[in-house]
Amino acid sequence: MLNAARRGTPSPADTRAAAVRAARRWIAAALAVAVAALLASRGVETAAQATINGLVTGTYFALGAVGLSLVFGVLRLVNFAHGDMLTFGAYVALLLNAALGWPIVPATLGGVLATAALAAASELAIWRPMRARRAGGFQLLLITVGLAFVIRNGVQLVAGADPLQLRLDVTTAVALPGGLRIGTVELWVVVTGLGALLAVATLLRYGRLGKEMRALADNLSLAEVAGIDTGRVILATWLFAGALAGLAGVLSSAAAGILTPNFGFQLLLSLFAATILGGIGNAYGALAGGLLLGFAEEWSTMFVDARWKLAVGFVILILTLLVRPNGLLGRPALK
Amino acid sequence: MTASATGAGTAMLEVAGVVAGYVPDVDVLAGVDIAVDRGELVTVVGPNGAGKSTLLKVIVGLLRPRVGGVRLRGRRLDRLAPHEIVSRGIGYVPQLENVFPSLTVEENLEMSAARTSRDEARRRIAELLELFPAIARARRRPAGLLSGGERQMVAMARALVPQPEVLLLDEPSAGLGPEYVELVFQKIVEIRRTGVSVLVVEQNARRALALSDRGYVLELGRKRFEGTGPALLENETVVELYLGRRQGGG
Repeated sequence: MLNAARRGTPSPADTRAAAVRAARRWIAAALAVAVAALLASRGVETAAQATINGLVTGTYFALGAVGLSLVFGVLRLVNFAHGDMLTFGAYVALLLNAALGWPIVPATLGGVLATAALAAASELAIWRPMRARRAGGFQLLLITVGLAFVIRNGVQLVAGADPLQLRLDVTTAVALPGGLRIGTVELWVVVTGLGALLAVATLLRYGRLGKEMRALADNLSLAEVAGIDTGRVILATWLFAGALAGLAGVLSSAAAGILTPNFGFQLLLSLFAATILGGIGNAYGALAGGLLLGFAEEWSTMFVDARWKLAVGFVILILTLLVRPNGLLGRPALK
Repeated sequence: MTASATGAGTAMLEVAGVVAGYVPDVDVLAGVDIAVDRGELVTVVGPNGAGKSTLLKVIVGLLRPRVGGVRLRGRRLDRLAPHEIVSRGIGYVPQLENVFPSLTVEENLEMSAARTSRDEARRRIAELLELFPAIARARRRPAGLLSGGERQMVAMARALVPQPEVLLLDEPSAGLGPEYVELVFQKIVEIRRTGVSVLVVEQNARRALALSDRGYVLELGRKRFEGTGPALLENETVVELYLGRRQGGG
């Protein structure tokens, strides 16, 4: 097949693949038109407002899902503690912002750095020693569940179970063309989140560290004998995942306006859904999956009660997997 | 056998008294000594389960020896992590899954350029793509889309990026079509001509021994025979037991 492609005469397999790709493009385009029409039927303004809300939700979904996906890709570890890393980041920012009076930007940065440090510490204290002892996947999974409880209860122990708020100006909004409005906080969430996602996507695609992470995700022992210091790359992966989780935590609690020790764990299911929707282990897929899920959940509130939006997200997940079993950007593993 | 290969401490690569295995109490290697001199091409042959691939894994640090040691230019390698061993001058091409399938050919090569500057890496990769024209035109394709032969070329080029002093090849011709088998052996000869020592484990024993300066026959984790390539090919016992009778002119 390769030889045929090189000579410029497409093989039957190539032709078929091209036809399938073209058909998929048409289906995607038709789907996009149908969704747009459906949304417009409720009024353009309502649809646009739901889209803005979807962008806000999608941004922190994507941030959380990318970290989850990086860890799964590199270590094949399904990290049930990831949601509580969001909680941890948000509460550190809350501590700095509300209790110590720091402005929101340095407080956010503090939350991000503290969560990165927590993730790195978990690698050094738990995951690295467990790998050295060749712990099985199930044991590691149970540890992540246990770690989730430890973080959540630790937060609750210090901060209590009552809902708390970051000190933010939630009353001002920015007027957009067409009479739409986006809260200043929401705008800040979207700009910061999308900026961070863009930076991460660029690093993964072009940076040496990003390529090394992809190499480890492909084949850990080959990465070792190719001369990559795998311990360093794994530690960097945790730092990244932690930082992204911390940022997602601060942004989502800022957007929601309120936080409790359970909020990260409640988000976890959506983060898993976003990761799988995009193609598990594929960081770009998680990014796309997170944004899509955010839009879908917010759009659904135009048709059904907001209580059902999590269910809507999962219906979309299941439908997508029926059509594309490896997720949106996933493909059958290249071996 | 060359004199220096047996002389203590003078060989480029020296494996001395290595006992190693994957599970406790089962030794796949039961005390193996081999040596590779500067610029030599050395082949290890033997039946399945003889410990040939395990020997290479011990050298590159994927498996730690229970007893014995590995030295490169007299400096100990065992106890180091694989990436440190690679940076000391060992290149290794595993038999299976020897490329990063989702990375492009060029990115595969970049992965072994950790310790070189960006410009130096680019120059080195360009040089290697010239040495392996079969993969140069696929440089921006994911390696997972290449044929087995092309992957073998990518893996060999990748191992050569850090300019190793010794290149370890595990069954480089296994499972390849005849034209690529030919190309692999041709490349091995070319690589060796650049002054790199090559230690190759090969099922295609006759072909490999014919090109080799020296060879070893392993069986059940022990060295049974050693000698120059031609000498082993003429040794009645070796031919009878390990190489099989020649079928016709093959």
